[in-house]
Amino acid sequence: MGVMEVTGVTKDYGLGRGVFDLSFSVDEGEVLGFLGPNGAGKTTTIRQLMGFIRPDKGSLQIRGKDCFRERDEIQRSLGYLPGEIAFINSMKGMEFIRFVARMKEMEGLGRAKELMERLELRADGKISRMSKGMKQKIGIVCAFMNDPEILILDEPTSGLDPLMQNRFTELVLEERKRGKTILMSSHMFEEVERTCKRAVIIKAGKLVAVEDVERLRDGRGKKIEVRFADEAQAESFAEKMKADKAKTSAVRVVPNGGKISIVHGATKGEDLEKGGRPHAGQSAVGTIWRKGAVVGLQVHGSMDAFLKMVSKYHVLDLQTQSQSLEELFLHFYGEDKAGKGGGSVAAAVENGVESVAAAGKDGVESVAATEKNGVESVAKVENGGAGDAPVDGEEEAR
Amino acid sequence: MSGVLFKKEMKSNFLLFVIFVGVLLMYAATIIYMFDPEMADSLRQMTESMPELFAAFGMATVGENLLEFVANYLYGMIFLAFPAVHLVILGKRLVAGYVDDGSMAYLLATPKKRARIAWTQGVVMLVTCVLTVVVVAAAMAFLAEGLFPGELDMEGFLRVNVCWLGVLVFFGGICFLCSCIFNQSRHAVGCSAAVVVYAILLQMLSQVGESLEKLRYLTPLTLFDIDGLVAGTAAAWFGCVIFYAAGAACMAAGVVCFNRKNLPL
Repeated sequence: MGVMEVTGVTKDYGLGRGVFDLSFSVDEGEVLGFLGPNGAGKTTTIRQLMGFIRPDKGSLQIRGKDCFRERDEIQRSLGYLPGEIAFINSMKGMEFIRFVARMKEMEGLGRAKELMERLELRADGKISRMSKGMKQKIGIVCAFMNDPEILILDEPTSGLDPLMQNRFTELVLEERKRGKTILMSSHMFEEVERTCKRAVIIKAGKLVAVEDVERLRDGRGKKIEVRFADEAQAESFAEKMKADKAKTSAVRVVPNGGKISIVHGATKGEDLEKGGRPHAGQSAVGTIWRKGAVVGLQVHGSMDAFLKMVSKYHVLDLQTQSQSLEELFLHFYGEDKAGKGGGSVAAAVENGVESVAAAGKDGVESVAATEKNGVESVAKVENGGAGDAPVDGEEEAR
Repeated sequence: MSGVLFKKEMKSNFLLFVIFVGVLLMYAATIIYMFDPEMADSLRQMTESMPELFAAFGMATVGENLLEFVANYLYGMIFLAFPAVHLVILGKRLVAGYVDDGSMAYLLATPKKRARIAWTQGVVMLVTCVLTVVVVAAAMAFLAEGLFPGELDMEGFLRVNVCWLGVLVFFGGICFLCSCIFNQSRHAVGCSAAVVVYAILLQMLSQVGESLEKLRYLTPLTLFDIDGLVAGTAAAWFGCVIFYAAGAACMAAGVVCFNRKNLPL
């Protein structure tokens, strides 16, 4: 049995907000990533684990204790970092840390001093005057200072600069080595990528997947924009890539009124792993578009083929961007989950099957680009798919 | 009860206490200074010239002695309205304020039962009421003894103050309950202020004249029978007991409500 057990939990706030029949567990000594876009229900789930709200249905347990009824018992060995930064504003930083330490029935300040040094936190001033990052650091100190066995961290790195995000990641990795059990929510894959082995993904309050982070990482595509010296080169490159892609047995090319969409796996997917991801070393290329001398495309898996191809041209600029979480699991679970996912997930799934790129902003952009180039537009189809994707409610379903 | 939280609350609400008790002390000192057995006649004349206005502020009778004088001039209105504002603000701060700004999460992310946190805040409310009454009453007794030795009927004065504390506990209970029920501090303030203002306003109206006298049955403050307390009647004690009981019931209801509800933290 896991340290934290969430079993069939439903908490309905109406208008599709809340969590619905959610089940997952966090094992002893594990750092579990809890991923989902804003408003997916991460904070709602964490509030229930903390005993702030009770579920409509289902049960939540930590170390076999009920999260609502036995919340004070659970708190003895738990550290919590709220997603929303809110302290007693009239207090000074240090005063607040001391106050929380006493409330936690600690003797002295525990690890507070050491943590403050690591995070370069000076907490002399009034909390109301502090920046978001400083407040977040105070929250982190409060969560870790009594060295709890279990940690629940709600979007822990928000407000921290990249250097501090790194320090925080190191801290979590150390705690993992020391055998702590940690649940860490985030709306960004990068945040959990280094610390977690497994991730729970939710969307619109429903469980999408529980997956190894490594698998997620491999399946993640990159959006690339290349600016060539002139249009002719760009066009030539785009054509080559399209032709190259067409040759690959792993992917099927669907000419789509000037726009190229790729459908993974469905019919000729034998060479791909389940889920439409390329094997290591293999690569799949998503939507390709061209606007003047700029060519955009998506690459999943190995970058090798792309780099070798592009190196033959005169490249002025190259930008890459990792897929957002949303796009990641649209791609990743697009086909797999079509049967399992109900309701809102199904809409997203359709979208995913239709085109890898259709989901994100780039999908729409690319349509716009083709339109401008005077090619027949498929805007309706594309947008229809994207528009069906569930709209996320506010993060705070108060 | 949590000692750590209690100390923190007493400390952070001390300034509020000083301001409101300061105002009460100022009024009390002024009224006691004004007392002059020989001036009673001219005051009576003034009261008779504008009976409704004086009555509205609980000053229907001028009073024959120092106790009746202060009881009528202070406890009828000023000693109810000012502490009421104090307790509404304090009530909001104690529970709903923490829930509203989210910092309640830190109080609850500790190995303490929710009921214990709420109970601590309730005790802060009670202690504030007690301190208000003790400080004000003691200061008044000293001042009266200093200026008019032997004039103040101490027993009667004590009875009035015991019941005054009852009224404050009742107000405090209402404010605490509202604070526990609502998640937003403005709702808590709105609701508790509405109840308290309703009670005080109706009492004022009911004292103006015969046409509105029936309103006295609609406000709980009618049970605060100052004349009866001065005289020491059983009916006045009955009212006093009701205030304490209602205040305690509100406090308990607040703790239970807070313990059970879903918190938007």
